[in-house]
Amino acid sequence: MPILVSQQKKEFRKFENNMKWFQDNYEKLRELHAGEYVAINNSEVVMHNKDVRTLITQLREQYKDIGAFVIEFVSKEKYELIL
Amino acid sequence: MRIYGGRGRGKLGFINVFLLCENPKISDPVRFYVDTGASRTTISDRDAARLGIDYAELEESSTPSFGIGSKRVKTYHLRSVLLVFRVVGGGFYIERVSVISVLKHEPQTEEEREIVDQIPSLLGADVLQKYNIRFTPKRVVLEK
Repeated sequence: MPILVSQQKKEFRKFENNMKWFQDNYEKLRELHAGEYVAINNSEVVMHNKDVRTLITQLREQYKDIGAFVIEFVSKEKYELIL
Repeated sequence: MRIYGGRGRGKLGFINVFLLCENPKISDPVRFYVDTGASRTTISDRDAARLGIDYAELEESSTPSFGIGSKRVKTYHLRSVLLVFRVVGGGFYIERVSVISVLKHEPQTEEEREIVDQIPSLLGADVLQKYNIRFTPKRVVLEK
């Protein structure tokens, strides 16, 4: 039995591509969406909102499956994470 | 066997993982930050919302968890999880993890909520101890 079935492999690849697009375009996103969460799918911002829970609720209303979507915060300024 | 991740916010290393769980049913990718300082692999509040996790379906942990902010955080157990990594050269590798923690912060203010929602999911020492970890300028590499 394969580790991931075809649909899961596709979703994984899409997620990776969406994440790469988010990182590659971060400075542009900062100009447009600083202080907001963005939802990225197929190399574009499909929705944005200051509240991530509202954003997720709205995405679920509009899309059947958001598994491959990247949902990330666009910071106004650079900051460090100390985990 | 080698797994590549990237370097994200603050140059922290991250790895994209496909997460599989039977109960509750989860079959979605998640980005985990590599954190040898975390005892256990954890799913953040934000990723829990994105994955559609219902805390009522999970067992609350009786062991308290503390983070850098020193506040106690409620955690819930997600059991019998498969973490699927993409392997360099093609194919996938599965890590079977008996328990992953799902965080549930209880922010008291809007500002606290905003901070909580920016906390990422973490690949902790429970998984990382099985690997040699190294960083390059653009990557984090797990090897075994």
